[in-house]
Amino acid sequence: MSEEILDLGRRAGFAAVESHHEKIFSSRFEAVVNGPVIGHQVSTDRVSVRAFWEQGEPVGFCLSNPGTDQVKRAFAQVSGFRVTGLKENWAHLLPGSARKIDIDLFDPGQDRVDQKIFLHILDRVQAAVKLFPGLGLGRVQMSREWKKVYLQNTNGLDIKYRKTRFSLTIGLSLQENRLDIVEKGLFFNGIDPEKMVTRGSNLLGSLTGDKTQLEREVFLVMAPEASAFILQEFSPAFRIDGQGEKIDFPFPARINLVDDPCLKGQVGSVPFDDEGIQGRERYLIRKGILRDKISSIETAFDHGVTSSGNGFCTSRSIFPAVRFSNLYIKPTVLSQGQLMKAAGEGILVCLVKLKGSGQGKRLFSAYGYRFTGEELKEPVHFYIETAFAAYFLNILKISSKLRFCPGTYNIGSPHLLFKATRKSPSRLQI
Amino acid sequence: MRKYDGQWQSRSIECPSLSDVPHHLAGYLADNDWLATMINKREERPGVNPGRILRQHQRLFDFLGKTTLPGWKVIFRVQQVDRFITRGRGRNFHADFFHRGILVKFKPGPVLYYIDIGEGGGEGAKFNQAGLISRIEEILENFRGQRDIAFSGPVPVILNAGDGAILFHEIMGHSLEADYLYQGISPFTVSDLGRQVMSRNVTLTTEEDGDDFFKGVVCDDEGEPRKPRVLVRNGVLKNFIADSFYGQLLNLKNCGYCRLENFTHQPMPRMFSLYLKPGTYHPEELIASTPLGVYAREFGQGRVFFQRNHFLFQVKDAVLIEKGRLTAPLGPVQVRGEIMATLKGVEMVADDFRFDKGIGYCFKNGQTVNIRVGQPTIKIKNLVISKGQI
Repeated sequence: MSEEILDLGRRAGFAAVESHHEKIFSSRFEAVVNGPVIGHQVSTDRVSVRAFWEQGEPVGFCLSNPGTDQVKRAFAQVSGFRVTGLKENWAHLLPGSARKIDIDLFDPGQDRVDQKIFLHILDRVQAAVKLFPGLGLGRVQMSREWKKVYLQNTNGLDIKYRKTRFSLTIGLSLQENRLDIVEKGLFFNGIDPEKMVTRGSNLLGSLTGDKTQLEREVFLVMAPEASAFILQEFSPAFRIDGQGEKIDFPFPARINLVDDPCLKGQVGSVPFDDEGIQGRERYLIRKGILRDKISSIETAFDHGVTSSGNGFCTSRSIFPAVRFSNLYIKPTVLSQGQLMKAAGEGILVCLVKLKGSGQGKRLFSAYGYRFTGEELKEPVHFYIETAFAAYFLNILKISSKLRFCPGTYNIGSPHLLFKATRKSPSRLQI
Repeated sequence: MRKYDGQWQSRSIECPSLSDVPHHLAGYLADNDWLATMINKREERPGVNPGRILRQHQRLFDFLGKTTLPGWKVIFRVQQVDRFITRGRGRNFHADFFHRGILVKFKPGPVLYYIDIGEGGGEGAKFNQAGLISRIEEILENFRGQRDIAFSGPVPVILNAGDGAILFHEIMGHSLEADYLYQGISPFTVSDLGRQVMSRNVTLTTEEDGDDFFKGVVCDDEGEPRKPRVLVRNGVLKNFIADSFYGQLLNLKNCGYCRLENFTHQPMPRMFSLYLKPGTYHPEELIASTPLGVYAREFGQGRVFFQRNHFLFQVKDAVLIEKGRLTAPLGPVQVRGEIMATLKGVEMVADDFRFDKGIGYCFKNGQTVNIRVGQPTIKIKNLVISKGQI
């Protein structure tokens, strides 16, 4: 069909046409405590088309597995969208070919993830929850997705790939606190419900802490969940079209920030972005020096650079937008224990939530445990105030264990060590 | 297709026409003449030509072009949704929703955030360019002349008629959804029915005379006819919002408020129309009775933390009230408060009921749906004001 779409587009008068065809089959299973299991299967088969005239902005449409007549009608409709004020466009930058990248995105055993497996996982989750007194179980949701992508354009590009994705969400509660623990991966075997419950119990335990009186200077060890959240908050600064903070300072040499669409098993991994640009490991910060920012073809063209291969369509959009694939702070050789030992005593920050922002600063509600050496003590709750530059400039040490926390993007971080100063009895400033 | 046999099972398949329905479902459709007829005779509403829309709104573009805004964009959106639902035994429904909306996003100055204002409505809706321009001008004027004030403690906040009800959608509407109730997320339980949970000045309903926003949506997405409900009468909790699944689990009546974004998603109870009934005060009286407070004019996003009994939402344009008069613009501020205290803290309700501007959306569990709210001007005591964006 894709070739026919390109042909119909050319016959409708367009100079260049791009067709992105996606077939998705997904199954979701969900259960709430004492309720029946809900199973939901979805098949979608969708074509998104972007068409360019010689000049001016592109137009596009999205159709469900269309026939020739529907495509013709859609091209006729979007032909009427042409407006005045035409400028040079970036159609010539659409890739014409792509080298095959050897990246494993497909779990061949994905078919076996069915309701029986879900019930088995549910049993394991329930058994794990029982090991933690006071821990309550809410909703458990498991999904698998099988996706096949075909991408073609009139410059000669013709690529396809397939990808599986699994996710498990476990809703846990402790006292009045609730938390959804989410794990996503390309391979089903990478998901471990027992580990998720243990992690959830630790995170919820940190939420039970009372507001604490802070010392004048406090060492903070930021767990991956917390640092990934903060990195996401500051990540627009690393997009070429970002509305984030300006970067007019060198980072500490220990910081390496990477966006890598070729990481094994990570949900953000793809061989090509949705414009057909090949993915590769890309250092945004290397040894403290800002090297790059992510971009799509359009945004790169606007800034006079080459696309980084980060143009991705979301389910609600026809045109690709700039998105990270797998963004992470590169780990070092230090263990988490070494970070805690180096600090002597301080607070292990397990979770943060954005409380507010203004004048370039962010205020986070922080939850964690006090520690001495490697020993964890009582849970505490306090606030962290920080700004973009201050946050990165104050990273003292970085640990070796990288963990990804899927949010808006798939963002990963090791443990990070900071030294913070007290701003008020329950507020620290980084 | 969705069925219940001790467990819920559903299956949805996206296909371009009835003839492409897969074999195992085609038999079902062939047996259902009504569904086949309705889908075949479905018509698209007259197409919208973006070129023409852009030309029609030249005045707005000229205005934006002449400003020195660091960034702006205008988004037009047209949505036509026809849902044909058959539940067997002749229970057939056609829910029809059409919406047009315009959204202007702009940076009011050298800041990191955008402010967006817009309006929308059904088939006959026309956008008021002059109104949009004057709202943008007013926000810009207030942004430039804004006074930085740190309040020493909580102050009363007066919410503008219309869009202000988004606060009650967030903190009260979602609290009444049966899934949140069952999962223990809501601050309420079924035993709260009949109890005083809000200020006596508040009556909340799901229908309001004269509103044609959801006129064609005669049933919810499970094919349950929509029934008007009084949710809270004079502060007393009267009803929850349930779908068939959670309705069964909690033994609540299904009143037709189950929604999904599209059939690739699972349905869930959704608060999508909430109205606060007018009171007896004149809006000026609310301001005149406030020695020190904030008047909230344009509303942005909000966040609710039910388990912590806490919410915060963004007011995109606020004005300071001193000695019963509007005195100085405050620009964008953040409003925070405790959920239960705020529900009980509605002090005064004016008589100037208005619907929102018609571009409300609500995001829950990965699904976005259109929503509608309405209220008169109201005054709430003891909310915390701070500068900045959420």
